[in-house]
Amino acid sequence: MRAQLLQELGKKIDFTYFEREDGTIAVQASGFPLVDGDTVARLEVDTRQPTPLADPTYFNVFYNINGQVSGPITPRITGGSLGGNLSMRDERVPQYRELLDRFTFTLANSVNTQHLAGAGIDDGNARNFFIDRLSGGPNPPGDPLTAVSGAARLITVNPDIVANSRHLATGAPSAGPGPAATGDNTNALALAGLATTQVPFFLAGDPPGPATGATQTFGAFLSSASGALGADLQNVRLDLQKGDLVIAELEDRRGSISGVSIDEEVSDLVRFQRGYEASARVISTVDELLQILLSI
Amino acid sequence: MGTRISDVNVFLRAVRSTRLNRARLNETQNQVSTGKRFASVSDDPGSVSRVIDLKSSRARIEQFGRSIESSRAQLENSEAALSTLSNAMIRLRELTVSADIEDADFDKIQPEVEQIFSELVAIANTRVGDRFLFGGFATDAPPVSQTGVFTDPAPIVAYNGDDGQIFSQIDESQQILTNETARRVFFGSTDGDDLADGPNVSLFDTVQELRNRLADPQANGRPTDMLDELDAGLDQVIQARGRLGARLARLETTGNQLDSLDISIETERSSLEDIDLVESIIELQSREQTLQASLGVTARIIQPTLLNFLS
Repeated sequence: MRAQLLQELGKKIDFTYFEREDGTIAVQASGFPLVDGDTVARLEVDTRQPTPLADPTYFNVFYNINGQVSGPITPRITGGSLGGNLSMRDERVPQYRELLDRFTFTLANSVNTQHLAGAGIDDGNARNFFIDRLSGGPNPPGDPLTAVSGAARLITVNPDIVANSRHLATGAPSAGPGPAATGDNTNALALAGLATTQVPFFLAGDPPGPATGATQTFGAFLSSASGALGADLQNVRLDLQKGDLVIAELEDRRGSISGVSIDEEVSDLVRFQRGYEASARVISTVDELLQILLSI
Repeated sequence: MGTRISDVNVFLRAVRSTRLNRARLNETQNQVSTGKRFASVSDDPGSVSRVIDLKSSRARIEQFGRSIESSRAQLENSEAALSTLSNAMIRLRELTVSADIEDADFDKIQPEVEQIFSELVAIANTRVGDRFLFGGFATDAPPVSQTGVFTDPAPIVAYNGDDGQIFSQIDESQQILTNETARRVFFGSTDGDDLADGPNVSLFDTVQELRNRLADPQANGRPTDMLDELDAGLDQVIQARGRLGARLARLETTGNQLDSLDISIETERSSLEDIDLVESIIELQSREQTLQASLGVTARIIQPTLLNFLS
């Protein structure tokens, strides 16, 4: 029973244990004693977070022994499904999120720069094409995104333009600031040209300064990002296969030590049964002898 | 003594190998039923990102195809309008030549010339849908308007458009001009004003003068002296049609190039992404057999213990 509970625990977290002389065991997980004799500590989760996590709704893990609660020990949890989920949440996913944010911010920035240079056909006001969903700002021009972090979450098309497509700056401002002619598509061509233009990508710390990341096209950025994601996934899958093999090997060994072979058990059973029959035979023989003796 | 094999081991191994074979079968089944070699990016990251590239190239080619179609419509409409215009110019020349005959009936020719003048204004204001073709970027208002009567001094027609050149992106590296302006075709100007340059003439001024000569040859001169100017005008229109024709031909060539590029991209995508059906089905059958075999073996291994042989 105890071995089975430990096996269950092992699926959730990396731990070590040892057995004391009195038969009780001590369990340590991530360097924290969980069970020692009759003392039990608990792991708790809470949104309290003295250390900042990527999202305010994320839980931190705390260590609670007899009501004494430690600081957050989230980064120290390793192994098991708990450790796996935590590292996915706090390391892997934020990496991909940052890629998406960098892409979004750079795209919004390039499109805005080009869009501001043109004019719509109702008035000559410059407008940002992509704006910050939350801050909005006075329109025109509308507040652009200011930080890489969260860009993918905050980006939206300027509602001024959504409401009136005549504000799309497809043309060049004609002769000084003023509306563009209706058939003028020079700026639209320039905007479409962004698809194949090499632009420097923003890194998380760049704004409000210029972009310092690698210079490439938007398509190249996305395809290398999805390639990297795929490679990561493939590695994880290989690790999983490797882990499965190790587990299989260990299960085999445990089975060969603690498992039962029906053949062996049954032959033992038969052997002991025969032994029992033999000794019963001895007893009945002795009994017969005694009866003979008594009847003399 | 050999390795001790407990029943737990046997069961575990049977479950494991059945599970593995089933997973393999499932993978092949997916490939056959979707026709795709990979279900997610991790199956083959290199190929998948190449396939993404190829798909976006195809999407762009499709967009270029649409641009080519709309440019073609624009150019063909312009060309149709200018073809009417050159017919009108040819008719004017015929009328002028006929005015050379003794006792020619100028009174009958003059109204037709006036009629053709109005036709010229209408052609310059040709509109497709809600777009005026010959006004440059100013597509929302008639590019020319008559500002006076025939007896006023020339010019009596004003240009209200601009010199906007509407380009269309027709492949990764080419843009094509999709419009001609009335300023160039009708006014014969190449430098941004409304006055004819070089060998060009203003069609409106020429027709106006022809009409005035027909009305009063004594004061304004013989109509037949206008033949040279009419020829220059016709030449100017034919040149514009030539430019449109050349651009239409270029659209055709580019369209064909894009079509063949599209095919070669699709071929590459297919070779990366699509399965070879025959090969996959054979694979499917072989994996199915492996699974059945492992199930069969499991059933046989699990059954016999010593118990079966003790009576």
